[in-house]
Formats: sequence, structure tokens, C-alpha cells
Amino acid sequence: MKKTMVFSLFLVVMFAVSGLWAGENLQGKSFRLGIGAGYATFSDDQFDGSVLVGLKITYPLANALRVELAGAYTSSKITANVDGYSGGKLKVMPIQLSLQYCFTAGNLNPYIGAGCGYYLNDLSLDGLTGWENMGFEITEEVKNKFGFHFGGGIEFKLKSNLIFFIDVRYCVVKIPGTYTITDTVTGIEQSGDIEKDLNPLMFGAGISIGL
Amino acid sequence: MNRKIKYFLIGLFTVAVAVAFMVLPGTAKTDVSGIVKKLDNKSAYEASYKEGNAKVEFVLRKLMNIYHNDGEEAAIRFATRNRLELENGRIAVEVEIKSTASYNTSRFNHTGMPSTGDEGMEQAMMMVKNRVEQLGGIVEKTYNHYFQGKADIGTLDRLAELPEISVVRSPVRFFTQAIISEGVADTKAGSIQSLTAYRNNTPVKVCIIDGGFQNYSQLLGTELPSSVTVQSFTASGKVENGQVHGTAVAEIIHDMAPDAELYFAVISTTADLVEAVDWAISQKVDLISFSMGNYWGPLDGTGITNSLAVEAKAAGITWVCSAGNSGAEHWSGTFNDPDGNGWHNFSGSDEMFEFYVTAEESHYYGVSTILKWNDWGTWNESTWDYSGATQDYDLFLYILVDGEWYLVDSSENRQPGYKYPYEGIGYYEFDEDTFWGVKIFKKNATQNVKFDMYIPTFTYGTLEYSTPEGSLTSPADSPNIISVGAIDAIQNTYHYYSSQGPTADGRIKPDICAPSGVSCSDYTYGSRSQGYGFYGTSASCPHMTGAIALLKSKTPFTTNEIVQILYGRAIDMGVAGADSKYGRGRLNMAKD
Repeated sequence: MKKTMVFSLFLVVMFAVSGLWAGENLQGKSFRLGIGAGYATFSDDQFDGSVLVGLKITYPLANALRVELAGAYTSSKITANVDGYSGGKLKVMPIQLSLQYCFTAGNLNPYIGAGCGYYLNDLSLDGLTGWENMGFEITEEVKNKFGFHFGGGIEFKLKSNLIFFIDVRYCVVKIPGTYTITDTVTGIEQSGDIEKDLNPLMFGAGISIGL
Repeated sequence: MNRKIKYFLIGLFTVAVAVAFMVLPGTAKTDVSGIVKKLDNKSAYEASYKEGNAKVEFVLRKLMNIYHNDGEEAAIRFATRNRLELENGRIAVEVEIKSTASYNTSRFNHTGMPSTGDEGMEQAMMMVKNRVEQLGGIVEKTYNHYFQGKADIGTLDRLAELPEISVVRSPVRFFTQAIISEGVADTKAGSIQSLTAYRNNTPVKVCIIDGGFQNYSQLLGTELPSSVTVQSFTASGKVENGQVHGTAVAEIIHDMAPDAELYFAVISTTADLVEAVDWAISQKVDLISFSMGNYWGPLDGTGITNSLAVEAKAAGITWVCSAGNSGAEHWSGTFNDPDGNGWHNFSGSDEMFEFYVTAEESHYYGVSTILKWNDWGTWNESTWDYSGATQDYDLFLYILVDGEWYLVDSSENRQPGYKYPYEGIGYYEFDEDTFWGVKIFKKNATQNVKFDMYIPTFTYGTLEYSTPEGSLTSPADSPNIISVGAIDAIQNTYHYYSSQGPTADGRIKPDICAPSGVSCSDYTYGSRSQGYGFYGTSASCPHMTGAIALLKSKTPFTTNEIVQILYGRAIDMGVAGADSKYGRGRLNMAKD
């Protein structure tokens, strides 16, 4: 999972670098590179809200349309829940591709957009000590999954090449996984599928620069 | 001396002398005429009631004889002592219809005639039902090819004359295996209770089948869940019928698995049990807890209760039962008659099996004895009966009074006319602590059979000969039922009364042992710390049931997996590995 996340970040960075190169070769159109931070909440209340950081690149397609590639990372704390564990972390790294429509008016640029994304997920549980003390080993794994999102935001032109933006988007994604509980005395194990309704609502703000 | 004082002293002296005569030992013999007949030789005890229809159980033939010769009051006294249900001249009976080869057991119609899928059998059933009613009897319920109901005492012989009838006997009854549980801590169930459920939060339904649930309504919301589902299948229809045994069992299950939903079914006879199991299946319960048993059957895993367990298993129900409390009241041996006089020699020249019973025990429990032997024949899974005995042995009960043995009673079913290799005598009371004796007579047999004899004495070590091995009660021998033996909840030691295996076909039973001697509410058996408590494998059974229910309600394991997990976690006792005294060992829900 860690390798996947590093690789994905590498892709985003490479895309940004290629954008820098491409921006130099396009007239009247330019890539914008943005960086920001925010907060994410999840529809499943076993996951606490968490801080997120992100990076995005936009590229104009026509007067009002543009495409955005964004990557983010958040690590949500798991609270005690009916599934038997009292703690843990869910790390989520969405990579989202969006089509956005801009309503440019002077220095303000409101926009709406929608798209799809690939969600890289990692679950680690650290609160199963009660069951472990009683001789039961529990493991859970979650898988990566495609999802959809929609949202909007507004950009404020601070300088000719510097923009402050705020962004809100709701993502629709259920992440599948598996659990295994094993009796360490007899080796008898029981496993099954799990599905977690992630559906993060992400609020973010940051700055972007034209390349 | 004042005249009044003089008379007073004379009166006082007279009273003192009278009292002394009453309380001091004298030379007069104890009056035993009320309960015994002197036996000088066996033929002297022959009586007319031994001539009746062999298809009628011996005790019922004797009842008929008393009814005809001595009148209804005497018959009522006899029935009461033998714990036969006699009311308004009608006696509770079970009638078995002769099965046919083509008989099909798609069965059960509890209110009317069974649907057998066999016209010949249905006609026979109808004919017998009509005959029972013509003779003034009542058919209460039917199952497979059995009737349970009440018959006029004087008509049993005439009823048995019907060729379609195989046997007329008193119903086979289950007895309760005599009685916040310390077992919760002992089994480490408390540690599991404190854990948050993992990947499962489904309530588990547990059906307790028992003899009665007296006072249960007063414990709802405290020692029991706030609500329970109840149903009685007995003739009285009562759930709170004076017996607190089932309530105590429920208390333990609630202690072990507080979230379990409880269903109470009251039974007494096999026919009641058939209905109760059907009800449990219809209620979609997960577990049956059955702290009951009887001495019926060959203990080789066959029998009606095992067949019911197969049905329950097919419906996803796991059945847990008590192993029995006969560990110290059982004897087993093969017929041995070196002097050729027909009487079994228990050891050397000893033909009398002696046991000691206090007056208190005889009044409280009644002195009784059961004899059966390995001659049941082949079990028919379709018709739920055995092909029947071919060897005829009889059982005699004696009492030792003033150094002399007196015959008290006998059980002389005439096999193979009576098809079951089973004799039973009970229940006698006597006002003195004394020895009782049992003898076995080879009446008409070509084979030296292996006997199992049960003498409930309730005091450890009072039997002259004792065989703890093979002392299970039915249905603890069933391969489809988890049977549970008893371990002391505090000392973690074996309880001497806990029945042991192996089964007659050599399988290890019980499967596991669980705590006994635990505290219950004052509405049932009270606290152990105050000298009371719930003892017996009856208390052990619900600990195992509760342990399964607890894990099932908190984990995604299947019931079968949970049973194997509990077997794996049991603390081995006795010889290494599973054995027929402790099973897999002592119930333990923790890792070690």
C-alpha cells in the first residue's frame, strides 16, 4: 500500500512537471498548479473527520471548461464501533479527474465540476487487544476502488499569476474488503467480505499558480 | 402429700412409661406388612396378574389386578407410589402400533391422526383410536405410530387384544437432572461478555426444554431477560407448574449470555418432547438446552430423541444436554449364574445387590430401580422403534428388616411378548434407615445379556457394586447432541454423580464438562455460599449452551465452529486427551 501511494504521488508530480513543460509550449493556454489543505468527513461514523492535503493541476480546454487532475491524502482515526475494534487508522488517497465549468467574473472565478477517481486505501487496526487476549486474531484488509465526485469552488485572483481557491466536493465511494478472525488455539478461522461507505465530503483551500 | 400433687405425679409417671415404650428399642419386630410380602421362594409370589396380556407393561397389569381385586382406592395408592398418572379411573398410557415394512414416517399431526403416507397404517391407527375411545379412553396426542392418552384401568387387557397394537405401557417420561452462577467466572465467559461484538451482533435464540419454570415471571428483567417466550406441551398446560428446575437453567444461560433470547418449553413425556422440538424449529431457535434425561434405550446413539436431534440439526439447531447424574447409581455386568439356580451372581456367590437408603431419602425421592439389557434389537429410523427383545429377565426388590430380607416388589415384563428389555420398580418409602436389595432372575433366556441397572440413592457410595462407566442417561449418548458432564464450579474437581461414557457402541461421552454447584436466585435453588445452590449436570448443560450462545452472538463463527473452538479450549482433565469421564475437559472460554 505504501508503495502504491508513493507511486501515485510520483505520478501526480510527474504530471505537474510535464504540465510545466507543456505550458511553455502552448500559447494562450496554461497549466495551473495548485496546492492546498482541508478537512474531510466520512459518511460512516466509525471514521473520524481528518485533515487532508492535496495537489492539483488544471488545464483549460475551452473558454469555460477545464480539466483537473487532483491528488489528496488523509488519515482518518477509527473510533470504537460495533465491529469489535477500539481503534485504528484508515488512510485514503484519492486521485481524481474532473471536468469543471467556470463562471468567470472579474477577479472571481466560481466553478462547478464532476468526475471520477481512484481511491487508494489502507486500513490498520490497533484496538483488537481484547479479542487477541482471548486468543482470537483478527485481520482486515480494504481494497482500492473507483468512485465518483461532484462539487464546486471559487477562485480569487490575488496577483496576475497567483490565485487563492476554496473547494468543496462530495465523493461517492464504497470500499470493499475482507476480514478474517482466527481462533489461535484451534486454527479455526472465519472470513468474509466487508464494505465500508466512505463517501467523503472534502473541504479544501489553497493557492495555485499559472505555469 | 397433697392429693392433687399425688395424682399429678402418678399421671406423669404413666405418661413417662408410655413414652419410654414408644421411643426405647424393644424386642417387637418392625411392622413391614404395609409394603412387603414375605418371600420364601419365588413361586410363592406368583399371582394372577402375571397371566394377563404380555403386551401390557407389568406395572400396568399389576395396577389392573389391584383395581379389580382391591378397588379403586387401592389402585390409586398403587399408582401414586409408582408415579403413574391415574385420574377418574383413567391411567396415562402410551400405545405403540405394530409397524409395517411399508410404513412411511412423514408424520405429525398433533391434534388428529398422523399422516403416514401408508393407508394400511392409517387404518390401523384409526382402528386403535376408535378402540381406545370405545373403551372409555382419550387420545391426547400422536406421533409417528404412537398414541399418548388415557385409558380406563379395567380395559387395558382388552385394548391390548387388538392385533394392531404392539405395546401398552406408561409413557416414557423425562426427569430433570437434579439441580449469579460462579460458572461465569470459572469459564472466563465474563471476559468475552466485556468485548465488543466483532462482525456480528445478532441475538441468539435459545430454547430451554424442561419440566417446569416455576417463578420465572418474578425474575423477568432481573435474573432473566425482560421478556421470554413460553409454551407448555404437558397435559396440564402450565409453565409455572411447581418445578423451578427450568427457571434455574434459564438463570444460568442468562448469566452466561445476557443478550440471548430465551424460549421455554415444558414437557414430561416423549410425545411432549416431539411437539416441543417442532415448536423450537418453528421459532427458528439456534440452540436447545435440555437438562433432562431418562433410562430408556440401549445408549448406542439410537432412539426417538436422537431422531429428533437429527431433525433439529437439519433446521440449524444445536442441541446440548446433560450427561446425567447416575455416575454413582449405576451398575453394569453380564449375567452370571455359576450355581445354575436362575439368579444372577453379582460377585462370587452373592446374588443380592445391596444398597443403603436413609428414611429421609426414601420419603423424599422414593426407592426405585431400573434394569435394562442389551437386547433392544434393531432400531428402525422410519418407524422409531426397536425390533424388540428376545431374552426375558426379571427384577426383584427386597428390604432388610430386623436382619431378615423381605420381598418388596418385582417387575416381570414377559419378553418377547413385551418387546422392551426393561424392568422398573418404584417408588417405595420406609420409616427406617436400612439396606435394600435387588436380585435379577433369568426367566426365559438363551443368552447371557449385559445389564445396566440404575438405583437412584442420592448418597454417594451406598451401592454394594458400582460401575460409573456407561452410566449416561438418554439422550446423552446421541452423536447429534452435545452432552455435558459436571465439574465443581469452585474446586474444578469431578462431581461423583456425573454420568460417564462410553456409549454402548464405544463412543466417548460426555463431550465436555462444565461447572456445577452454582448459585441461583432464592426463587430457585439459592446461593451456594449459604449452603444451597444448583448441583448436577443439569447446571453444567446450560453453561455450555450459554458459552455457545455468547460466542455466537459476538463473532461470525458458525455454531459448529464455536463448538469445536470450545472443545479445543477445554482444559484437559484426567488421562491425557478426550476420555469418557471428562470428555475434552473443563469448559474454558479463554485461551488457556
